[in-house]
Amino acid sequence: MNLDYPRRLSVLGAIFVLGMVPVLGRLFTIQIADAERWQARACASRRPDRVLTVPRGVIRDARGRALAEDGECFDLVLKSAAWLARLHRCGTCGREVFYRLDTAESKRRCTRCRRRVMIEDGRDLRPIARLLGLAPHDLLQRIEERADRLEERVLHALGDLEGGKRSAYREFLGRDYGWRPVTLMHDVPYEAAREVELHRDRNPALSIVESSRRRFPGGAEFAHLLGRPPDGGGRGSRLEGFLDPLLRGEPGYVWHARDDSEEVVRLVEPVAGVDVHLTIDSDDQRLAMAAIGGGQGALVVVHAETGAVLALASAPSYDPERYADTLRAWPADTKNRDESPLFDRSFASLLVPGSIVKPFTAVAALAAGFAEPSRVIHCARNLVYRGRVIPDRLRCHTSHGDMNLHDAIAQSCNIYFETLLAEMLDRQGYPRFLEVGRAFGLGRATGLEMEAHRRIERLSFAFDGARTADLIGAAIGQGRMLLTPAQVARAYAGLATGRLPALHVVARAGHRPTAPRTEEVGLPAALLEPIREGLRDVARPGGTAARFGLSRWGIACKTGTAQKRTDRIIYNSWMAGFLPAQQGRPPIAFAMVILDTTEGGGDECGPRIARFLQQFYGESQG
Amino acid sequence: MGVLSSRAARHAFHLPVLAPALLLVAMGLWHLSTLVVPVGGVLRDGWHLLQLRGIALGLVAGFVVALIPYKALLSRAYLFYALNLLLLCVVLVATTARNNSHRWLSLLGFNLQPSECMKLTLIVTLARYIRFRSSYKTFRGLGAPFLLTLLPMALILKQPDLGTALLCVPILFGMLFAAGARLRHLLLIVLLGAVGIYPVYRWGLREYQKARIDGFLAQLAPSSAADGERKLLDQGDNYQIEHSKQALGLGGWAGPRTADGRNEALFRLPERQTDFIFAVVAGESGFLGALLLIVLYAALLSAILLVALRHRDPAARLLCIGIFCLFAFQGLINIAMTAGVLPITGMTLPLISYGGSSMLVSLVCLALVCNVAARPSYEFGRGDF
Repeated sequence: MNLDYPRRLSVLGAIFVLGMVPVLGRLFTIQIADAERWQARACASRRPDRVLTVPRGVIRDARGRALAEDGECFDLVLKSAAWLARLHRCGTCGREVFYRLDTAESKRRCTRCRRRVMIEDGRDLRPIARLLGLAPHDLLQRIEERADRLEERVLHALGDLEGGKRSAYREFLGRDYGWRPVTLMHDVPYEAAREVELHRDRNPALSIVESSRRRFPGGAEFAHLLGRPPDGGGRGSRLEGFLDPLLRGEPGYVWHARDDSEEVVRLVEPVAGVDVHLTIDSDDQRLAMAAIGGGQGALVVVHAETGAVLALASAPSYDPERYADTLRAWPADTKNRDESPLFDRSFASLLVPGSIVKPFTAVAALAAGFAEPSRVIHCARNLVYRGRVIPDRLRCHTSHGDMNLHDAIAQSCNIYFETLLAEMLDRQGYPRFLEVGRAFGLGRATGLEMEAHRRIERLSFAFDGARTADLIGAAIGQGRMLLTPAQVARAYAGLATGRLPALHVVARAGHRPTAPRTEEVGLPAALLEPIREGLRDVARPGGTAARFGLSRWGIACKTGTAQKRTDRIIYNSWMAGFLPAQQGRPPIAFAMVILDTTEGGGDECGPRIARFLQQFYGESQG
Repeated sequence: MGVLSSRAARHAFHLPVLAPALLLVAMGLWHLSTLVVPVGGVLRDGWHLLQLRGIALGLVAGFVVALIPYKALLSRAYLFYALNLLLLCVVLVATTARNNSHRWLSLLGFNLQPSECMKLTLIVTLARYIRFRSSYKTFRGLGAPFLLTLLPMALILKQPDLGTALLCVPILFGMLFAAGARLRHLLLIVLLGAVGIYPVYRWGLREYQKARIDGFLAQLAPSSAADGERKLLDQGDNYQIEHSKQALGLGGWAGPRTADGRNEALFRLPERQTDFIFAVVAGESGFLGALLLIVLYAALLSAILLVALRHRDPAARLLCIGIFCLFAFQGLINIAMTAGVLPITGMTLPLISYGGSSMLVSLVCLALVCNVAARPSYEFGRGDF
């Protein structure tokens, strides 16, 4: 194709015109045809003008009673955007500076010449500070810290702009930096809120906004279970932390038009947090707390078939109202002590379990073919393994003589179970012991929603690098074996039913119920029955818990006395077991521990469990 | 080297070229005067005052260029070319990176961008090379002009400055096409270039350049949920395109209808004083303002084409055509990029965007067109060319 020169120029011109056509079309689409869409997107891109908060979901017990709910309160806030919008010209250097929080002309400070003309005694803040329980200068300092930070950022960004641009950009930056009011103090007393609102003219940048504060009608009984909601970027703890995505909902946002109308041009509706119903009846929880009494300990009661937690008590506890927002107020010297009320002992503390693991040693020995229910082992108080006598803490208190499996469980003979495990250790049967333990949930997370899964899995039922004494001591729950009461209760539920349930405390979140999950322990029922029979005999005459009248509920249980310290005799006293369905109550499994006692498991826990069961099943049982 | 006669001096102020050009400059100044842009976290205004320095320098340089006969410039084209290549090398090896690129050379308090100058140098050099030759009408003969173009392109790409480098291509093709190169040869080269697009994208581009292209393609894809779309487009690689379009959308017919008359989306648009100046024009003056700008460009380009058409000297024609291609494609690509029709390449809008080098080169280019217009040639070319 041969074109002459003018035509070639025409082609070049045409290329420009043709290239411009789609561009113009696109411009027309964006600016005219689709203008509203792009305006809406521009609006959505900017910071919202207002935040619509939603109440946090309520946590309720099994009967629908509120355990944690939002209550109304007042927040003292710094209206940064409003504060930034006000100007003052410095009398000394003429610089345009922002209003400080103070009101009178004489009480302003210039940001350039730093001439100190601010409030000297915090006089205007004095009534508010008094009602807040603060010194005036403390309140002033708190306000100034926030205000200064904001002012510095805005002033830095404004640079050397002057005149109308400065004003326009200050407004823009004010919206950008100050789109949310800065909370100076959460949950201020009504009187202080009233004082602020009545005298707005004195402190124009201070304001009161309605807010919410978490209340805990469930009281100290539920403090460990519920924990704290997230605050200031923290993740929160326990159920409040774990369920936060459900409970908190989503705040709404409002964007106003930038013209004089101030009409709402975009609204994101808030989404309310969902209510959560627990499996725990607060009456049962109180019974469990009462059963523990004044000492340190825990009582976990679970539905043996479904794994629903019926009580999860840990003592001592604390007043959750006082520490709802922060634990910083807690006295530092008591925070990390063993006896600190802040520690949960029911599902978060790993404890030496003692004899309550003997049934699982027996199951492992039966499953691995190292024992028969009728096999007799002679207990002479001591065990000699590979020519060495086992340590004192692993011996029996008395010589039991000849013992079969049934008697060994009922009378809690250490030597019987250590002999079985020593044989397993010698004949490559130890892995089977670990396997059976894990089948009953030892060394595994229980499924509880707020449990620290990884920590439990790493530290509980872990024997890597253990010495021989610790490996044999595991037969009676001594040495390096660590379990939580929740793990023990779950394991006994597995022993009772032959299926291991996943524990859960959330019955339903919103309209979504929690589906019970169970897993096979992988052992025949006939193998478990002799163990169950032995456990029933623990509460019968001749057993270690025979004196407390527990057998009338058909209980199958085991006591445990874990030696905690050797210099002074200090025990963790345990009792764990299961009961059949009765009196309108489901079949249950339980685990109780009383820490730092001088009595054995039966003596410490027996009467407490008896008292608990008496009230749990009704007074008529007594 | 002779200077202009009095008649030629009168014609040096070629009104059809200068009038739209000066109107465009004024339009750019006015919009720059409204701009406040954060630099290092601090808002800066007074961009029009800074731009005035570039304009003054450009006018002085333009006046000088207008006085010198263009043939004298052409005769030294290869010298300019060599000097400019040297400057491009100096920029690469002897300057510190700014925004991860080596583009600016500090000369007597003025930040010069040799890549901007190279656009003009390339036009002059190609005009000099092509004017009396006919070798470019064969496929093999195209090698030399391509080599002349690819060498500076490679150096500019190394800076990296993809936008400026790519602009050399339409200048070369436009000049060759106007000079009478075979269309099938040019189409064959375009085809070969198209085949090489993927390997260049895969191995030749930097990550941020790939991200811009990916982002451009992503914003073309239809999206259903408005909120999800916003979240997707509001961040990352599409940030500039998204906010540019928002600024355009707020502009409407004749500017934003807010209480203070300001386009809030522009606050969030980076590089609004340079690459995205068109978004400022269209965002603050609306569609009508954008249309006015495009009409002024069209008038300027038509005037340049008319000079090229009327002149008899092949070199003068080529100079005008090269400058036409430079303005036409730079303007077109910049506006198309702002409207989201093309991916972001980092290219200024001639005569409007803030930038001393860009303004200097643009004004010198126009001075060269005036220079050509003021000297009607009595030489006769080879046929059409």
